[in-house]
Amino acid sequence: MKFGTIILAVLPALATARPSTLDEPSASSIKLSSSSYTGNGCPSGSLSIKASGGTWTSTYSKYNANSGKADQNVRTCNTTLTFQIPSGWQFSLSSIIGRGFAEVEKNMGVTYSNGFSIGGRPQQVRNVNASTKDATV
Amino acid sequence: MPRYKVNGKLTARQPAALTLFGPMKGDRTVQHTFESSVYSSCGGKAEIVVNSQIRISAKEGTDGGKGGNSITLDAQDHAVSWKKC
Repeated sequence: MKFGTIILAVLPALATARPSTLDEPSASSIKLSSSSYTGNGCPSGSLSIKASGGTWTSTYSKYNANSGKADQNVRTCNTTLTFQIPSGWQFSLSSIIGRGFAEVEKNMGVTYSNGFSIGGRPQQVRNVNASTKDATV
Repeated sequence: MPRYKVNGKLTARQPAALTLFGPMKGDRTVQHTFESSVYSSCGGKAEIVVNSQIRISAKEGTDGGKGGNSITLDAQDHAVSWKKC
C-alpha cells in the first residue's frame, strides 16, 4: 500500500521543524546511534527505520501473516534501537501506530500486539490504550 | 501491576493487544498508547526494544475460515514522552 508514503514524508519534516520546548529536548539533540531487528516478520533486508528526534518509523516489506498454513499464522518482529539523548532528559515510549491491510472472513480474527522494554526492564507499563479506525467491512 | 485499556476497558497485562474479527477487508490503523512508569537512563545512551506481533486465529467456538485470510503490517510509527531528570 502507498497510503503510508505521505505520512512517512511528512513526519520527519514535522519533527525537525519542532523547536525545543520545556517539555522535551530539541529534535537535533537526539540521535539514533544503532538499530537491529529480528523475527520471522522482518527477515534480513525487509525493515527500514527512519528516525527524527524522538519519533521513528519502521517500514516493513514482508510482515504478513495468513491462514494458509499453520506456521504462517503468527509473525513477530523485535526491534532494538539505541539513542543518544541529551543530559538532563529521559524518555519512555508513549505510542505506537500500526498501519496495514487486513482481509479476514467471518469467524476469523486478527490480533495486533506490541510490548516494549527500556534498558532491559519489560512489563512495567501502567496503562495501555488500544484503539482502531479506518475500518472497511 | 501492568495494566492497559482496550476500548476503554482496563485490563492487566502486557503487551498491548487488539483483536478484530471479520468479515473485513481494507486498510487498518491501530494505535497503542502507553502510560509507562519505566523511563530510560538520564542522558547518554538509551536502549529500547519493541516487540510486535500479528496473528490470525479462528474465533473461539467456531471452525473459522478455510484460507485466504491475511494481515499485512506496512509500518509502525513510534513516539516517546520526555521528562527531566
